[in-house]
Amino acid sequence: MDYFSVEYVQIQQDMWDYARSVSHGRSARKVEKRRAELIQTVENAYKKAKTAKGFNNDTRYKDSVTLYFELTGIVLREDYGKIVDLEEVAEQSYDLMEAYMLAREMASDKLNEAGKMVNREHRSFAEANNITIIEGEDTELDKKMEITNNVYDHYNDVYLVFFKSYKQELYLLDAVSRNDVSAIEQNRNALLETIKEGEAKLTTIEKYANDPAMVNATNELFAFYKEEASEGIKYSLNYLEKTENFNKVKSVFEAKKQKDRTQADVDEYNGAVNDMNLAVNEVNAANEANNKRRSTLIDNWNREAEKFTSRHVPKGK
Amino acid sequence: MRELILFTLLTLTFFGRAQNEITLVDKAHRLTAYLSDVHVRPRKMDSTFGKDVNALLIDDFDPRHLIFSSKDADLLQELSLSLGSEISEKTGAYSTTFSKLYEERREIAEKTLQSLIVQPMDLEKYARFALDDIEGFAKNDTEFTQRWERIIIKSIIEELLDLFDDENDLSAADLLLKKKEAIENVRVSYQHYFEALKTNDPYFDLRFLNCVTRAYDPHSSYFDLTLKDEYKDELVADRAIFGISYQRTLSGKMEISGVVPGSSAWFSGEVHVGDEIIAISAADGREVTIDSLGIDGLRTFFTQLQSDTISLELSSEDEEIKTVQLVRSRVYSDGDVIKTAVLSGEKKIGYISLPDFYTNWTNAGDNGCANDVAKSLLNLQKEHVEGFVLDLRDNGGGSLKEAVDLVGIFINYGPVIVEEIANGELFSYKDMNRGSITSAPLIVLINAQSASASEVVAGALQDYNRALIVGQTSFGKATGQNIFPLDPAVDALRTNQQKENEEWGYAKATRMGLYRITKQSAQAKGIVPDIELLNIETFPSDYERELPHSIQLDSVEKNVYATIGAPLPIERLKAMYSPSSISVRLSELRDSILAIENQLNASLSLEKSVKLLQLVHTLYDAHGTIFDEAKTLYTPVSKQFNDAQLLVAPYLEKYDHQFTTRLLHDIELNEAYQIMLNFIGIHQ
Repeated sequence: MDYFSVEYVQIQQDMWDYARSVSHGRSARKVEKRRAELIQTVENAYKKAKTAKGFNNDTRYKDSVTLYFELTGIVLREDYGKIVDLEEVAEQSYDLMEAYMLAREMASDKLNEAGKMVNREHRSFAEANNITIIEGEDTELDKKMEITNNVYDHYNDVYLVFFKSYKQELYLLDAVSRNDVSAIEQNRNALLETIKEGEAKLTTIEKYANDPAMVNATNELFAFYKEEASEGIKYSLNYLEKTENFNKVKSVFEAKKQKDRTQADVDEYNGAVNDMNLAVNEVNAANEANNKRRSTLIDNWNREAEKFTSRHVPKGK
Repeated sequence: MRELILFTLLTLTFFGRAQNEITLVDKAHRLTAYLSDVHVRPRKMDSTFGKDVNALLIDDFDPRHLIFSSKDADLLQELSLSLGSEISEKTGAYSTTFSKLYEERREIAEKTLQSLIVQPMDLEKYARFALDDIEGFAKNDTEFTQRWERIIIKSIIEELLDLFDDENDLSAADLLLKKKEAIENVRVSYQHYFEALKTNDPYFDLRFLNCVTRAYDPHSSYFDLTLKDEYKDELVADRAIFGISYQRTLSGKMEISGVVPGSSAWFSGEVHVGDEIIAISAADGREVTIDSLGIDGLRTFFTQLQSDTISLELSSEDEEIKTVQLVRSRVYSDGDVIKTAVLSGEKKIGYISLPDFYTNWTNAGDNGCANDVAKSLLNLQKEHVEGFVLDLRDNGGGSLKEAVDLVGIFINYGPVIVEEIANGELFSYKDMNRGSITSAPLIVLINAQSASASEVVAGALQDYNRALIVGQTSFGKATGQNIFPLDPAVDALRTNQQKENEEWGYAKATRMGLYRITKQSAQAKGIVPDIELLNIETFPSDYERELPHSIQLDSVEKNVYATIGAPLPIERLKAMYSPSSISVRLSELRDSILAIENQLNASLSLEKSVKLLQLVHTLYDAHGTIFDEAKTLYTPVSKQFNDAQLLVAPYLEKYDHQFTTRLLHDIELNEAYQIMLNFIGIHQ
C-alpha cells in the first residue's frame, strides 16, 4: 500500500506549488512552468502505477490508482476528448465555450468517480489483507490545500456567473458589428435574461470569509450591461433604422430623372440624410463612452479577483 | 520536311479539338458519377434506372403520345434497359436512337397535322369520348391519325371558348361562325409548335440530362450556364433589371407585355405594353434582331448579358419606330419582398407575409429574409400589437440558413433541423443566437404550396410549442439541394479555386434529407396544421408524394437536446373555432369548380364544353361575389413603405393599395385572425 504513497505526496506538493503561483501573482511563465512540472509528476506516477504488479494476483487496487493517475493527467492537459464524447458535448452545447465547460465538468465528474474508486479499493484491499487503516491527521499541506479549494470554489462560482454575462455581451457586440438586427435584438434580450439569472444566483453564493469583493465587482458590471442592453443598444438600432430609411429614399430618388425631381423630393432626401448623420453621431458617442466604461469595469473585476485569491490563499511552501 | 511538320500540326490541332469537345455521354457519365457520390439516396444504374429515365424522357418530349407509336415505345423501352451501363461505359446508343426516332416521328406528326387541319372538322365527332380516354401509344396509322384529330378538335374548341370568354353571351351556334378563324389560329399555333420542336434540337442534351437527374428524385436537375444563372437570380430579392417583360404573339411577334413601375423602362416614358421589339443592342457591342431568336433565345440573351445598358429598337402599335436607352437598376419588386401590416380590429395583430426564403448568396455579410422579418417585428412592436401572424402560404422555400435564423427569432436557442447527407452522417442545424425577439402569441399560416424552408420553419415552431400552425397540410418537401459544377477539374471542396469549365454544366443535386427535432421527417407527409382551414382556392393542390421518384425518408437516430416550451392550448382553440359560413360556401364552390373544370378539360364536344364553361363562369362569379362582399374582422394598415418613399415615388401607392385590398378579401387570414383573438384571450 505504500507503493504509491510517494507519488501521491509529490503530486500534492506540485499541486500546491501550482495553486500558489496562480493565486499570488506570479508571472505567466512561472505559472506555466509549475503546471508543466505537475503534469510531468502525474505522468511519472501513471507510468509507475501501470507497471506495478498486483498483490496476490489481485490488481483491483493497482488498476484503480492507475486509472486515477491517467484521468488526472488527461484533465490537467485538458485532453477531454479521450474520456468524454465530444460530439455529444457539442450537441448539448450552445457554443464552444459552453462545450468546453461541459466537457471539463464531465471529465471532472469522471475523475471524482475514479478518486472514489481508489478510496473504495484502498479499503477493500486493506480488509482483504487484514490491514487496519489509521486515519492520520491532516498535514499542514492538507490544510493549505483545503483552504485553497474553498477559496477557489467561491472564485469559480462567481467567475461562472460573471463569465456568462461577459460572453453574452460579446455576442451582442458581434451582432452590432455585423449590423444584424435580428441577432442584436435576440442577444440583447438574452443578455437581460442572463443578468437577471446572474443577479439571483449571486444572492445564493456564500461570501468567502465575508469578503464581498468579487460579488460587488460582478454586480457593478451587471449594472453596466443592464443599462447597455436596455438603453445603450437603442442607438445602434436607431442608426441601422435611419440608414435603411435613407437607402430606401435614395433608391427611389435616384431612379427619377433629375428634371423630374421636385423640391419636396429634395427635402425628403436631405431630411433622410440628416437623420442618418445625427444617428451616426449619437451611436459613435454612445459606443465611445460604453467602451471606456466597459474596459474600466472589466479591469476592475480582474483586479478584484486577483486581490481576492491573493488575500485568502495561504502563502508559504 | 515541311509537309511532315504541317501534317503534324494539323493532327495536333484535330486531336486538340477532339479532346476539348464534351459530349452528351461525357456529361451523363460525369453527372451520374457525381450523383452517386453526393445524392442522399443514390440509385443503381440498372435496368430499372434505364426504364425510369426512358419514361421521363417520353413524358417530356411526348406527354400526350402524339409523336411516338406503340412500336417506338416498345423499342425505346427495350433499349433503355441497358442505358445505365451505356452511361457507365460512355456509349450513346439509346440517346442517339431516341433523338433520331423523335426526329422521324415528329416529321410524320407534322404532316399528319397539316393534312388534317385543311379538312372539314366535325366538332362533335368525338363528343361521346373524353380526351383522357386515350391510353398508351397509337398501335397503327389509323389510331395515330385519330389521336391527332381529337387533339385538333380539342384545340379548336379551346380556341372558340377563348372567344367565349371575351364575349359572354355567345352560344355554340354563334361560336361556329368563328370556326374558320379558330382553325387558322390553331394551324398557326401548331406551326410555331413544330418550328420550336426543330429549334429545340440543341436542347435535347439538356432535357435528356434532366431526365437522368429526375430519375433520382423530382428536385434534382441539370443546368447549363444560362439556367444556372436564371435559377440563382430567382433566389435573390434584390435584382437589377431593365423593367420589361415580353411575350411571343400568335403571329410570331415579340412584344412588350409589361413595364415595371420605377424601372428605367418606366421612367423613360417611351416603352409601352404592346410595343414590338425589333432589335436589341448592348453597350458591349452585342446585337440581336428578334427575327433570329425565339423566346428561349431572347431569355438566354438577357441572362448572359453583361452590359448594364441596352438600346431597344421598338415599333409602337401605330408602327412608329423608336430607339430607347435602358439602364439596369434596382427596382422594388412587389412579388419578391416581405410585406407587413397591422390588422386593426378587436385586437391589433401584426401581419408578416414572406414570399420566399431569399438571401444574399454572394455576400455573406448582407442579411437576408430572417433579418427582414426581425426588422418587421420590431416595427410592429412599436404599434403595440398583441400577437403576430407569419404568412408562409405559397412560399416554396429557399435558403435553409435563413429558415434556421427565422426560427431562432422566436425560440431561445437550440436545434432547428437535423440533416442527413449521402454517407448517412447526421448534423443538427442550430439557432446561433441566444434569446428571442418576441414571446407574443404567434400563428404561422401554411397551405399546400408551402414547401421546403417554409416547412422547416412551421415544423420547428410547432415542435417547440412556439407557434400555432393554421391552414392546410403543406407540400411535403423535406430535402435540400445545392448546385455544383460538373467539371471534373473542380474538387469537391473547391480548394483549388479553379474556375470551372462551364461547358460541363451544373448539377442541382438533392444532397440532404431533413428531419424535425422529433427525428421524424416531413418528407412526403408535410406539416399538418394544428387547426385546419377549409381549402377555398380554385385550383387543385399538388403534393410531393405524387411526384415521380419522390424520395422516402422516415426517421433518424440522433440525440437532440431542445428545451421545449409549454404545450399550446390547441384542443381548446379547436373547440372554439368553427369555419365561417363564407369559407364553407367557398369551399363547396371550389369542389364544384374543380369537378366541372375536369369535365371541361376532358370534353371533346363543343356543345357540352359551352355548357360546362357557362356553368364554370357562374360558379366563378358566385365565388368572386362572395369574396368581394366578405367583410373581415380587421382593417389592414400597410407598413410597407415609409412616408418619404411614398412622397418621392407616388407609384408605390399602387402596391400599397393592392396589398391592403388583398388583405381585406383574405378569407383564410380572417379565419386566422379569429383564432388569434381566442389565442390571445387564453394567453392572457
